[in-house]
Amino acid sequence: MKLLIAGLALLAAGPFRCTQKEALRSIDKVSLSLHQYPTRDVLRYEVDSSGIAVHLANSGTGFDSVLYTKAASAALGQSRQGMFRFREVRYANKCLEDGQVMTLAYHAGDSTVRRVRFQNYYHDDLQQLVQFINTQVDSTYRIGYNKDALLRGMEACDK
Amino acid sequence: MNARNSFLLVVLCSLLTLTTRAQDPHPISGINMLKDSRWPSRPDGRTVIEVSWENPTSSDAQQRAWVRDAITNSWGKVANINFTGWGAATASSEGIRIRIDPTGHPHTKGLGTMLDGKPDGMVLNFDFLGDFKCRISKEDCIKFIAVHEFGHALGLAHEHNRADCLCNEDPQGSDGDFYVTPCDLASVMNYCNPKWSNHGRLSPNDVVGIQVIYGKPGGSAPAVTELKEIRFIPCTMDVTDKANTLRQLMSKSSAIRAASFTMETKPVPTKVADKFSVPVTIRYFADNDEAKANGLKKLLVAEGYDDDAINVENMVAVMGSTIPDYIEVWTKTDPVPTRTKFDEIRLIPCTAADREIVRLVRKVIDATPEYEVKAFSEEKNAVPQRAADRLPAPLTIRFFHPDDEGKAYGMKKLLALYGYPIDDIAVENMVPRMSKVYPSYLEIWHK
Repeated sequence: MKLLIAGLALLAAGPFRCTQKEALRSIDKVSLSLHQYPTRDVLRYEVDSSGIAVHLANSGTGFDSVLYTKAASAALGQSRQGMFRFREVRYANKCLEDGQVMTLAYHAGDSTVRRVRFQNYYHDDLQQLVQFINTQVDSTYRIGYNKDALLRGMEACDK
Repeated sequence: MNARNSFLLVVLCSLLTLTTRAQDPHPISGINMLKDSRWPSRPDGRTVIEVSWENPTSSDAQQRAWVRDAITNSWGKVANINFTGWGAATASSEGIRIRIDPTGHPHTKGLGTMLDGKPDGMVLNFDFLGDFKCRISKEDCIKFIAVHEFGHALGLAHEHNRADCLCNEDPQGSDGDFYVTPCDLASVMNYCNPKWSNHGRLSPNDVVGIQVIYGKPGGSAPAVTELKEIRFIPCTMDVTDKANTLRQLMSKSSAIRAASFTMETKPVPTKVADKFSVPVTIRYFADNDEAKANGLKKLLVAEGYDDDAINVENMVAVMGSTIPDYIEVWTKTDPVPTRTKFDEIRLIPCTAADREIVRLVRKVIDATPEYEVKAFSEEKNAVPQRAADRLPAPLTIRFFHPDDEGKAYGMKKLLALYGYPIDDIAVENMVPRMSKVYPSYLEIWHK
C-alpha cells in the first residue's frame, strides 16, 4: 500500500516539479515595486541576469529614472527561487490605509508570469527576498521590511 | 451570424439616416466613506477633533506647522470641523495622534473614529529617508500627503476602492459603505488621480462630500438625529417599495442615527390610510422630537423629494402618553412624480471593441420618440477588468433612482426589440449602493 501511495505521489509530483523548473528557468527578470502611496511614484528593484537596478518611476507620467545599478550575476537565480511559494495574488492587512505596499513580479520576456501584491503584510518568503536585495544594494537603497511592526499590525487587525 | 452581430446589422439598417448629437463628456465625481467612523458633532453641529503629536521636536516645528496649515486650509476650511490641540500627546490624549517617522510609509491605522486616542494612529514622514521618497519639494510632499491622511482620519476610504470607479489601481485598505456622489477621479482620496492627492487641493466633490458628512462651516446641518426607532408604514402593498426606499435612504444617512429602522408588514385599514392627505407623513410622539421629525423631512427634500409631498404631524395630543425618540414614516403614494425624460445616459464600453455597440445603443435611444435624453456621455477611460467582471451581463443597464427602474426595464425591452439578445441584458439597481439617488440618470455598460 505504502509503495502504491509513494508511486502515485511520484507520478503526481514528477511532472509538476519539471514544470516548475522549466517555469523558473524562463523567468529572466524579477521586480519588486515599493509603491509610494498616496503619491504615484514607485521605487522599483529589478533583478535580471546582469544584476540589480533601482528605479524611481511614476505610474501616471511615465517618468522612470535609474537611481542605482550593481552587477551581480547570481542575483537572478536567488530572486526567482520563491516564485511558487506565494499562493495568493494579494496578501493584505486591510486595517491600514496606505502604508507599505509592494508588488512582486516575475517576468519572462515581455510578459509578466506572476504578480503578487503585499499590503502592509509580513511574509517570510518576501522577507528572504528583501534581505537578499538589501545585501546587494548600497545602504541608501535598502528596503525597510519590519517584521515585528508588520506582525503587530496584522494581529491588531485580527482582533 | 451571432445574435449580437444581428443586433448590429438590424440597428445599422434601422438607423442609417439618423444623425447623432454631439457627445457631452460628463465629469463624474465623489466620496467614499465608512459611515460608522464619522466623528460625532456637538449639539451646535460642529465636530471638534483633537490632534496631537507623539514625538514632536523643536527641529520639526516647521513641518508640523505645514501639516496644520494644510489641514486647516483644506478639510477645516470647507466643513464644520475644528481640529484643535496640535500639541504633544500624553498617555490619555484623545483624537488623532500622529507619529513622525523619518523612514516610514505614511498611513493611518483605520478610518475616522477608529483612530480616536489610538497611539501612532497616523504616521507621517517629514524626512523621506529609507524607501519612502519625495521627488518634489518637501513642503509639498508633507502637505499633500497630510491632506490625504487626514481624509482617512475623517472616515474617508480610498475613492478608487469603489466598484463604480474606472481605475486600474488595486483596492487598498478599508472599503467605504457610504457613497456621497459617483466616483471622483479628482478626489484627494483617489490613487488614480493623475495629480496625486490632487496636490493637496480638495476637489469640488471632496468639498460637497465632506459637507454632506460634517456640514458646511458654521452650519448646523450635520447635527445627528438620534432616535430609538423609525418605523416605516406603507399604506398599501403598492407603495411598499417606496417606503423601503425611504428606509434605505434614512438608514444610510450619516445625519440619522437610529437603533432600528423597522417596517410595518400588516395591511393598513383603508379608513386610516384615507386620513393622509399627502404622499408621506412623518409622525412624532414626543414634543422634543418635533425638530427631529422636521430634520427627517429636510433630509428627504434635500434628496429631491417634493416639499409639499411630505407632512410632519404632531401625535402628542392624540396619544394618551408620549413615546420619545420614536418616529413613524407613513407612505401613502409615491412622493416623487414620475419622470418621463432622462437628464443623462452614460455609455460605458468596457473595451474599445464595445464602443461600436454602445454608440448603436445611443442611436436606438435617440431614434425612439418615447425617450428624451438631455445629454449622452461616453466613458473615455478603459474599464478595469475587475469592474467589467462585476457586470452581470454583456449589456448592463444601471439605474440610480427608484423611479427609474421602470424606465430601465423599458430600455431593456427596447434593445431587445432591436435584436439584442434579451438574456444578455441585465438591469441593475444601484440605489442601495448609493447614499444619494440620481434621478433621471442611467448607465449602460457593455462588455
